[in-house]
Amino acid sequence: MRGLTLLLLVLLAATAQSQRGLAFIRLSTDDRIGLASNVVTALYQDEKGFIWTGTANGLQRFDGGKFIQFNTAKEGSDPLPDAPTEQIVPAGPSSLILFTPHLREFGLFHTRQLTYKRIALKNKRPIGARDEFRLYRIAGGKVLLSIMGHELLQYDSASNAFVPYTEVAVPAGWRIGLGAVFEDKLKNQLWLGCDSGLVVYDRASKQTWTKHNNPRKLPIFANTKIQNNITELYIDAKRRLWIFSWPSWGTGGQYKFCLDSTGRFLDRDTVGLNYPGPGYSEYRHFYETKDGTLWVYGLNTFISYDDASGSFYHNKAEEGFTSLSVDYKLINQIIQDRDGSLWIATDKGLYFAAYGSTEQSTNNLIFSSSKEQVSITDILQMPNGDYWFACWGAGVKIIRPDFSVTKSEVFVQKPPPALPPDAWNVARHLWTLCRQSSTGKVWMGSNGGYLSIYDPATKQTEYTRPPILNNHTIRFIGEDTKGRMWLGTYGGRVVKWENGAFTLVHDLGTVVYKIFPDKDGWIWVATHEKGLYALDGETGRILQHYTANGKANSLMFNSGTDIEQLDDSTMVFGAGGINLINKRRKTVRRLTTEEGLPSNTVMRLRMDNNGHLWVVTANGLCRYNPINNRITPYGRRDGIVLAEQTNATDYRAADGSLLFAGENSLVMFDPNTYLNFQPPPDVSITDFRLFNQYLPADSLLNLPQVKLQSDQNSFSIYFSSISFVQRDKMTYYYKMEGIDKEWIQSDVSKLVSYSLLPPGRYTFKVYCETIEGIRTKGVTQIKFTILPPFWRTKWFISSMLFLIALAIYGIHNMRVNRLLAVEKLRNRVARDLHDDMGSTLSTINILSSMAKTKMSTDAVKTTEYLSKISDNSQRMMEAMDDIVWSIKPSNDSMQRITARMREFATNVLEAKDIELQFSVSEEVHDVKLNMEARRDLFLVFKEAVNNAAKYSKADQVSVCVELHKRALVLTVQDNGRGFDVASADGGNGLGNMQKRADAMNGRVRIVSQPGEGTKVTVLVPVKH
Amino acid sequence: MNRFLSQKFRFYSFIAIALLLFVHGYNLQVAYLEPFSLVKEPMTITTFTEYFLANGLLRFRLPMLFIFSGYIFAMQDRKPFGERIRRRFNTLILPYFVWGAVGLGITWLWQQFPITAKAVQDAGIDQLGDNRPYSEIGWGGILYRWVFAPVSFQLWFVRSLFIYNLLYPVFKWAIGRMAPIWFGLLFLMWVSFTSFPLIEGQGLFFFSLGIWIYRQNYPLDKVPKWFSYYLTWLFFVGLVVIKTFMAFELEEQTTATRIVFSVLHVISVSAGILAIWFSGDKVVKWAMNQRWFTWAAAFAFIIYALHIPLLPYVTQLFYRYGTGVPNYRLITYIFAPTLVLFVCIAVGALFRKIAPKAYGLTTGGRGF
Repeated sequence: MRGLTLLLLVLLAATAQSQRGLAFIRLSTDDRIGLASNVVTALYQDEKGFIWTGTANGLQRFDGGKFIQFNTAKEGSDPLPDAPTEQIVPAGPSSLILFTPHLREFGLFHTRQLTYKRIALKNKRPIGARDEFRLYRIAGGKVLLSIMGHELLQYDSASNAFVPYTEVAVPAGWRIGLGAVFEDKLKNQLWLGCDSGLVVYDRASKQTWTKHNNPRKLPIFANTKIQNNITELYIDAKRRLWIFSWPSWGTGGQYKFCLDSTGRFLDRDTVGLNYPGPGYSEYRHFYETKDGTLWVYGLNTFISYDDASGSFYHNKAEEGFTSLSVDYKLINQIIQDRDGSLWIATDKGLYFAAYGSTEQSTNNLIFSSSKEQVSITDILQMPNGDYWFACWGAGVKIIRPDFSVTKSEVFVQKPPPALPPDAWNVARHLWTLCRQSSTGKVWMGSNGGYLSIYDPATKQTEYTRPPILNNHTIRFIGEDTKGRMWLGTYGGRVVKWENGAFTLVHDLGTVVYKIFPDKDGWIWVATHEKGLYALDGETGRILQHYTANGKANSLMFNSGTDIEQLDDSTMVFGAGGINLINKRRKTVRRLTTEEGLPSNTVMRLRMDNNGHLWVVTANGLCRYNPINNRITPYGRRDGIVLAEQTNATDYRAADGSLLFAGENSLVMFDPNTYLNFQPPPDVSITDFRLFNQYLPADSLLNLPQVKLQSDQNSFSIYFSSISFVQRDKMTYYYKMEGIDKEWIQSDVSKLVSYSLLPPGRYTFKVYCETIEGIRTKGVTQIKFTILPPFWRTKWFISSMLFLIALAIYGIHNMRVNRLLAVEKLRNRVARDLHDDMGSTLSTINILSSMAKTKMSTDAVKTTEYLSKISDNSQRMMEAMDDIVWSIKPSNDSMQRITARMREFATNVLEAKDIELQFSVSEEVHDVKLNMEARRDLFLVFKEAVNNAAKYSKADQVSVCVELHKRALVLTVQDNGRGFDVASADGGNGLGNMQKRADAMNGRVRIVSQPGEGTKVTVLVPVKH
Repeated sequence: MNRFLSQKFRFYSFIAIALLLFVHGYNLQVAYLEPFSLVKEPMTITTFTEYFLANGLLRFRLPMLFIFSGYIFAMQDRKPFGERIRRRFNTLILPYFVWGAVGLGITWLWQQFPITAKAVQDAGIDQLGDNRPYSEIGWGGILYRWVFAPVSFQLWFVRSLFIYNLLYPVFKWAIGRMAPIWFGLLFLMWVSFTSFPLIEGQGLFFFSLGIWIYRQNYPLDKVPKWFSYYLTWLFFVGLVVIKTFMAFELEEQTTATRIVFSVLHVISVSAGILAIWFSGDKVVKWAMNQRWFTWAAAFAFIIYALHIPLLPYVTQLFYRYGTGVPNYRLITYIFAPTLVLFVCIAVGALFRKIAPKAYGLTTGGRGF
């Protein structure tokens, strides 16, 4: 057995024995880490390191800190059963096949998408009520389903169903045992144990061999003993074939065979296999750890084969061990994780055992309290490797390096009669051991000032009671570099032995706990309540004295039990916390719980050969690395289970192992075991909490980036390197790119929270390093995008700017158009004034000049001129009236236009005694005409009416204004003499009409025949 | 066609081809930019500039070139169709095969030296996605590439143009008889990126538009009354800016985003064509009076035909030796196309001087 072991020692010479087992840690529902049930049925470690756990209440995932229950309530997913999950078998990357026996249901669970789909069974024969199932994963990632007594099915991922497995043809009528499917990967064979015998399928030859068809003459088929009712079979790494079977008829226990490849029974290898169990037992499954240790487990069965002793060891709870061993009725599954640790699924919880890789690297020894009380006060290793333990009241106990107990001959010889009668008894109340390097003799200090010196060469013990010790208990004996022996007493005396004589160096008046000669020859003395003294080894002069005086460079407490030397100038004194004393500078630096010390009650200190300081505190063992100033606690996960009790003494063995001991207990380990130069597993994001809601981290990690809305800007990220042994000893560093410029060291909670992050893109990165400073190979990262609200996006802002620019253009355009319109109006008025007024005024001017010249000579002409002037001014007034009328905004409506038309026509036609019929349809009033069109329309009308009045000789004129097909239609019709339109010269009047109609995008049509009147029609397209 | 209009065609053809290098020279993580492509990397000056230019501002080029082609082909309506097609075969299909072979040859040459071979591998421009050395692909694969999937992938334009020319009678008939329906269909093909085997849908609308413009005798050289410099430039640049921001800030490609991008694309390209065409008369006159410009513009076809595969390979070399230099991506985007542009002009000039006949044959008689 290799690894972290727990030994039960009985030191009584008559019953000296030891029993060894793993130290287990139990995880249960009481631990409040989320385990859904203490009935743990299945285990599987995925590629990320998470332990998937089948419990009586369904599937869970353990990340080393907590169990998480999943639900699959999402579209396209079946509900994940809450019932016991009996088996978890990987079906492919990130997919597990789960077996829920209570529902007789198989399902495929995707660990990333967190979806679950039931798997159909396409078995040939109907399944009976008592049939049982077992899943196996074989080569090529195939998953087989054995239905007891029926057939083998194979998982088909394409149809998500178990379909008949056709590779092996089991003889007709043979029924495969439930646990009797084994794949021999070495020989590429599939072994099946059946009720009628063994079946071996050889993939290379594609042959199926049985006792009836044995072309290769396998000896196993000739063995008639093992041919029937095989229920379990296994071939281990040593090529031993283990076959278990049950008798066909009647009662009787399970048969258990172990054979080699020749078919020979290996009785020697089955020693302890049939242990006397606590009751009915069933050996159901096999498991082989990476080191080749074979485990067999099942109902009331949990045994392992110990190569050293050549027998099976029964792992069971022993008296005094109950908190460190496995309590079970049923062992459901054993797995070994990638750190090498063992996980045991039982009906009474989940157990974990650190399973080291070094031969007996860590040993926790418990001295059975039922037989004797063992209070170890000091340890000494003799040149032959034996460990001597000073036991208060029991003298010296000796354990060999192989942990066998041997008899001590130290106090066999009785003290001389000169000493008091109780001298032998008192002398065996030992406090301290020290081997004098010059003579090899062992100095032993005891109660009552007894100093016993044992000479291993002569096996004689010399009992003395030096008066200089004042009959006080010798608390400590040490030897300095010059071979001088230093003794400290309970009464406070520091005594030096040199050249065969004792000298009182100091009487400190308090208990001397330890005397530590350093490399410079200084003698350091740890006292009770008087601090720490440094004495000159030659003169005994007090060189330095440190106390807890509250000033600078003072100790934490005055009482301290242990001293060590860290380096040439630094002493370590365990008084309260750790006091690091630089004896050159006379400075004191403290390490306390604030620096990570498990407790401020330091009891033992010991340097290892790697320069690390090991410290036993009231809360267990820890290691201080002076290089990186890091304190690392060690506990049960590391196989250290008794450290709190080993507070009395410590020792560094010749091979570098460290020993700490105390009441009934001893911890011994090789510090190199805890040096790990392998990079830890990459950090996993174990949880993601958005506000107070946990989101599935796995599915988030699948995303190229996590997108969060602008109000989802407060979240926490949980992370951990999935190494259950090193988990608490790693230092994590994280950085949120986008916020952090440097890496930040995480605290022990392994979570980081962010609040009110502004919108943007972020990348969270995390890695960790071991206590030796070895970093993970990769940096785990998860990308986040916090989306801005849409009004803060650049596209929205730029869209707004675009619209503003468009609006500015629109406003500018309107302004320009308005200016252009005004300009156009001014131009038109000017043109009209010029055209209409200017020429008429010129005519008036000429006529008036002519009238003036003719006034005195030709009255007739003058009158004619004046008459013309009158006409012209009348026309000008009308024109002016037209211009003013057309400009006036109040005349914008069609009602006003038609009213003016009617007025004009009435005035003109009445004067000529022509009857007027004027009609306007209602919808015309809704028509909008701009100023120019209005004027043009009126002038065309005017022209038409004037022509009718002047030239038509009509007695009736009809005017009609109406809407026809989105056009305004003006018709002026008379019943006059008419004219030939084709031969008409056009004249100014008709030309103007045409021009004005064009200006309105309209047209003029004149229909006339001599004697048939004239009809002028104007069409103007309008918007209604 | 009057002289100025002819100059304008030549000027913009050269500019469109020169700018093509800055379209093909972008180095965003998105391998193939479509009008509605989203960018899945942080917005920086480099990435913004590249998207803004390659997938925005310079998108007017191809439509404009297709309009020119349609217009020019329609101009020659009086010549017999067979004769025109024969001529087009010489000026389009022959260069297609010649320059396709040149592209393969350049690639093979680069594959002979470790550093340049790595550049070819990293550029990954093989249209069939197999970027192994040609020595591994074999003659069958090389032949297939030469005919159907040249490494000089830009040659699809001349191939499509030849197909369009073949289909000219159909276009002419459709434009004459059912112009609104025809243009409606082609517009939908353009917007929806619909294509048929060998018939590239993106150019049909504009090629037909070129034919229509010519047949309508539309005065291309006169700025129409309705044209507004302010509005066309505002829509051209403004919408491209908005679209670029959207490409970086919109998170998912949905139907809605595709529609929005398509609308922005259509309007900005249309506005871009108008803005560029009607705004640059002074520049055109000035440039076409410069001897160096007209000399360089003569090599437009060589630039077009040769810049791929050179540009992606040179870009990879820039990366190899420039990584670590601040803003190396932007530097690469600016200088790699510029360098290739000058190389192409130099190669063209040398080629024309050394072997004028071969030059004329391989360029379809362009550039004399």
